[in-house]
Amino acid sequence: MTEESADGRAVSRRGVLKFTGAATAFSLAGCQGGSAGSGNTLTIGALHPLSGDAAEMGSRFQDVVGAGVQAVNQGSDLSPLAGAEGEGIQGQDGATVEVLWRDHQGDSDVARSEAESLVLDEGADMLTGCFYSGSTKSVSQVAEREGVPHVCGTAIGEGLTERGLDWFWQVPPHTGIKGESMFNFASDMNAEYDAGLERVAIIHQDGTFGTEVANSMVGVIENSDEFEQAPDTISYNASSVSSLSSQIGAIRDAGADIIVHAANVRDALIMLEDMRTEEYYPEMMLTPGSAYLDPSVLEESVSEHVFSGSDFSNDMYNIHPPMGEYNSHAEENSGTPFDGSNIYAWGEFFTAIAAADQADSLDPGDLQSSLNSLSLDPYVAGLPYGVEFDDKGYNTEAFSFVVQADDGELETVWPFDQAQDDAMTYPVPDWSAR
Amino acid sequence: MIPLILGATVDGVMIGLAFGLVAAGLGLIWGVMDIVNFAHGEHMLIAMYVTLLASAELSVSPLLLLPVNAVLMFVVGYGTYVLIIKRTMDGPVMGQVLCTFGLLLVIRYGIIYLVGPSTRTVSDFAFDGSTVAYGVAVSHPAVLTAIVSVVTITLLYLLLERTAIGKAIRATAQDKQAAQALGIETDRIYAVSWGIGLAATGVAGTMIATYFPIQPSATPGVWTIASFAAVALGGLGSIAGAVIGGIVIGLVQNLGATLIDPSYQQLYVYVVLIGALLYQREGILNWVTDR
Repeated sequence: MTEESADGRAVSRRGVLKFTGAATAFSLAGCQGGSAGSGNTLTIGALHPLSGDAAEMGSRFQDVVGAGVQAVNQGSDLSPLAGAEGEGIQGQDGATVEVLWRDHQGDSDVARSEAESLVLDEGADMLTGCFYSGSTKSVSQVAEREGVPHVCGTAIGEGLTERGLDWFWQVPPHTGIKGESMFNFASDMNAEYDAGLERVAIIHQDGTFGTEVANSMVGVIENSDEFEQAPDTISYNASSVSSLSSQIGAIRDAGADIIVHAANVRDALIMLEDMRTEEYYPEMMLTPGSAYLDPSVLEESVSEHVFSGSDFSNDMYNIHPPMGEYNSHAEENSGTPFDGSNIYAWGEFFTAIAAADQADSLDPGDLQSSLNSLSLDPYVAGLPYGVEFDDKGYNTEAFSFVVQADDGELETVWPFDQAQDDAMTYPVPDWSAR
Repeated sequence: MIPLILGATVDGVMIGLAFGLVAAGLGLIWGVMDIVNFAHGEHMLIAMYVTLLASAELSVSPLLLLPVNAVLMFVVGYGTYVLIIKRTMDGPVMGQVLCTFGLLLVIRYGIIYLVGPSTRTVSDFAFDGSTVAYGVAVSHPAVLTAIVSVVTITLLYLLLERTAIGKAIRATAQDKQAAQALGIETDRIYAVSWGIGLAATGVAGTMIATYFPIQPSATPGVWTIASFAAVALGGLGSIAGAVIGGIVIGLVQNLGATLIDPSYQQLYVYVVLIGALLYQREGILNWVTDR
């Protein structure tokens, strides 16, 4: 049977079916190719701030992850690091890994559009990032919609895994866990050193990160019989703040023993400089890390003796020798050693590699199953703790220790059994005695 | 409480004088040419980085860099007008706005390209430190900055009030055609105004760098926004108004934070600014002189 086309040529029904079948097969093949990257390559779309306030940190992320890519693709002796044995990812027949970096500029809308581009145009198999909680939320929504795993190792917002997402996994300790560690440390200081720490001042930049940290800390204090807040939580706008003297005055007036400060780098330095000007220092400056672990803050003398919750310290290699080997590899191959920020990016990358290594294939569904069933011992994901996600995608093995800035480096001071002898300086000397 | 209020007042006046100096340069350009220099904070950033690098690499005291940066920024300002702004003068206002916004991006990202995006501070400044008296702590670099601001503002005032070039600037600001009819080369006056405006910024940037962390993306905005507010509050084209506006902003944000709630420091400034503009559009100084 034939039908006449408008120009009089005959079109057979079989011809129409052949064309339709071929087109369908072609489009299905195209879809498959788009969602699974390029066959024997694991394509990771990494979204981080590569310009703006956090650009230098983003650059350090790129450095250490670049060293990680080299370890996977060329093989290394960094056992037990995931993917380090042999060339390529052994669980995927030696598939190589490529990381496509995108700069979200700290802007959630940019993060969303870059994530869409990575998934839909570049065929990324997995997404990682994004340091800022706001950007992380945007990207995870794209991942959820497109059915692509989003492994987050660099944002520590407490609520990130409370959104009912099936394609999102958070590796580091969130702010609530950090808060618990920090106040367990303070409690142990009261018990061991009779430190008399009781009144806590919380001051934070009013962005997503600062607000989440503050809320988590308030929650921890409210559940504690040992600590109380004084004064009420203080916030400020990080982009317009020029002085924090008045805020420091309010904290001093309230008789705070501990200051918890969630800050960006610039306002962390303003805080410390203004405290020095005011010749004021609380019994303990205890921060949730982030800016206070940044090398540009640590190199300033005013940061000396600040305590922070952290996943990294310069002396951790004594307790965790594999971390020392990883650090040597990163420094030798990228020129950048680990620090309090880029270690998160390292762990984020190797969690993704471990999941790919254990997955049946690089199809999104297999990667999702692999992440859900992941159970990694310490060091396998490049971190001093293991990785095992709960139903919500939060790493139940994540923990935070407490470090103290000492001569530009971070030293573990808690848990006490992981600290080096004489690592801690306490009581912290007055400004005049430094 | 009294030491807190006293401290907030002292801090407010000192930071306000720095705001005032930055605002004076912005207000001069704005008042004479009716152009808002959105790149004002970025221009200040140039002087800040010259200070930062010269003190770090060559161990030059920031105080010695004051005249260097003033001259450098005068040249930058003069050149900016002659090479860029002048060509937009006959076009729509939007063209001028976009032009200064383009300058903002070029300077900011140029600096990031050259020296990186990290936050840096001037270390080992000879006048580092602070003094506590009557419960009030004052930072030595902040006091020095306030003193330099007062001296510079006074010189700027005398320049505009007592010299021929100052009179020519004021005449051009009042009526360009009339000034031209009197033989004043208004183009040159515009270029000089840009030069003087940015020279003031150069002095401010040099001193502020001695006690304020510098970050290419974040630092300019703090000072540009504050100086916009100071100029709007103090009145266009008025050096004294800009300084008073700066001090009012410094006092409002510090006293508001101390007396009410430190979390809303910026809010107090803009409530006062909106109120002042609603009540007296020509700025504080005119309101004071009208009384």
